[in-house]
Amino acid sequence: MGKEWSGPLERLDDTRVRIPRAYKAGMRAEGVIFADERLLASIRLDQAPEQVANVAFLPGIQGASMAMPDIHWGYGFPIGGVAATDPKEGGVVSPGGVGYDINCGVRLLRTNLTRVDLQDAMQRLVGDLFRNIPCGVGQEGDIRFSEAQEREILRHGSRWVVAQGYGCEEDVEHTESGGCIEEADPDTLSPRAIERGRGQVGTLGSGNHFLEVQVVEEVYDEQAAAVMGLRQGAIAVMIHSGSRGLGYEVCDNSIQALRDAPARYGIELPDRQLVCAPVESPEGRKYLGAMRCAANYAWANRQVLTHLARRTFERFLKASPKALGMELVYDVAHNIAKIETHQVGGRSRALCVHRKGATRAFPAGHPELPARYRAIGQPVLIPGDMGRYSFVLAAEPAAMERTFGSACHGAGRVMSRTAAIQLARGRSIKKELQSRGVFALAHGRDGLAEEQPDAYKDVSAVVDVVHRAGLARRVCRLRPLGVIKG
Amino acid sequence: MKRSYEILDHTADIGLRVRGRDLPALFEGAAEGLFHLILGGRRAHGGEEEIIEVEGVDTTDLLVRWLAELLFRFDARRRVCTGTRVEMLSPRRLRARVQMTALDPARHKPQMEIKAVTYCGAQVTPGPEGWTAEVVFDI
Repeated sequence: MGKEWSGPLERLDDTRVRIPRAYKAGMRAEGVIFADERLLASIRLDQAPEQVANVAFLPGIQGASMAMPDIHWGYGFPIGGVAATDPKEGGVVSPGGVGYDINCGVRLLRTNLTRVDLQDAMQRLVGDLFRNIPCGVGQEGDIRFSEAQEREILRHGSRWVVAQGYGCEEDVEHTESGGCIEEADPDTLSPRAIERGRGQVGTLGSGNHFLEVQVVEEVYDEQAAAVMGLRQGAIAVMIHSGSRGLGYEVCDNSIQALRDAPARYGIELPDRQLVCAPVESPEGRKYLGAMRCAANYAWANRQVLTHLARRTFERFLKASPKALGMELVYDVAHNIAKIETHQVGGRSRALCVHRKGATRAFPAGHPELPARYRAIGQPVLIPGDMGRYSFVLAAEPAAMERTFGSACHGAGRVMSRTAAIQLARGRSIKKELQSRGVFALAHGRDGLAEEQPDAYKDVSAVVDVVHRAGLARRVCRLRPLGVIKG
Repeated sequence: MKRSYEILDHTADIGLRVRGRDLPALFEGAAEGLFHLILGGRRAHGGEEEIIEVEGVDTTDLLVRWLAELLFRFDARRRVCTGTRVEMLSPRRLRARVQMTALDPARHKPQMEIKAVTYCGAQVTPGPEGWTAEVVFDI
């Protein structure tokens, strides 16, 4: 933490550098970081590259231990880390490769509205969204589910909440994995995890979670944008949230439960935060069963948040759902481990792909994509900061060849919260944002200061590398107009 | 009163360094620091007494479990800790009486969502003037 990294980074091409296997005895694969020279300067500022090397120790790792251009220091795995292991070769699953906020993710809703429709109304609309969507620490919503209902959510994800009236069938189709990973096992969860999940479905949370009203500012790929229902000048809504307290508790419980597993299975690790167990072991299966519950919970959470956003727009504009056309473009997870089929050494293999701060990116033609995106590739949603922009990309074939179908997930902080608050002293971030045409509301006293645009990297630099590396191509850029934060 | 803890700054997360003349004071100070972060420096008062008992494999693990228990009661049960008294502390077991009051968002104005207490760099070390602990939170 905090110390500059001085290990070897060998440039492979203009978007990739390598940490050779020889760097540390025990690495089972090389490390590969997707970054250009500009990003590399900031990547070296902390120990994230060391974490890339550490992840290469995991048994059964395939290809390389990888990191996306938004890499920064995390617990065990770096944020931006991607690692695939083969269960048939003793491959492991590690809670550190997923993180505390299991299935933290992003979804984007398109609308029939244009900027002109909301010209004078944005401030009031943001006020309504802020009132109607529970956000911030300790805020509860009106929508309550019983424990039995929570268990349905854990098993069936957003499919179940849609069946209860919180959305439509198309929402499920346009959610990664149809909003539900099979083989989620609520019986693997502790009563405490279940208890922590009560009352938090349909809550945004705090920190970097947000709901933004955005405008499509620039379109780079007209055809793909049209398929996604996005056009220049149109209004869209982006939601960033995860599995709330339930996911945090599942991760915490799992790290405890797996503490002795590496010794039991003879796995030597350079960092105890990489605790793991073979995918095909009772411990590994139990973690995956619990993690899938949390993933399903997160999809249900974002689905209920979507319902609340739609209802707010309908009431505010006194318009029908059909007139508003608030359809889900897509929903992606960026903290997850999934069993997926990939080609390795000319063979098709089922691998456990960890994406921690990385987004799935399946290209055109992939069988898991819904019909709408079969020809253009999966939408990859990359939020930036609340003052500048976010991006929509479409997955490209090279992602399957190079990153087990993965791309970046966001901008990444460059400034601590304390430093950001100090930088904001004597200023009104709210007014500064307003002068840039962004109405922002946050519960916490320092919420906007902590999350000010300067606290984040410029996401366009991250997206640029992903585009040039052929992992996903730019489709459009979105600019925030209204923001609610916890 | 001089605080027994200081906030450790990190780009994406936040931590605490706590000092105590003995281990019970260290654990009490860590609890105070946790709720200082959650409530953005505001003090909460009153409430009812609850008993907390946690176990760990060593003192550092015990500290992480103690803070995780307090965090659980805040996030799941909406209880704000207003004071603690460690009654019994061995390297593997802790029993404490804690004062907890019901969370009232309008009054307590919680500022920071702490997701978890991590083992990252967590340590409890003795020194000439007592004990020092460091712990990092995922936020």
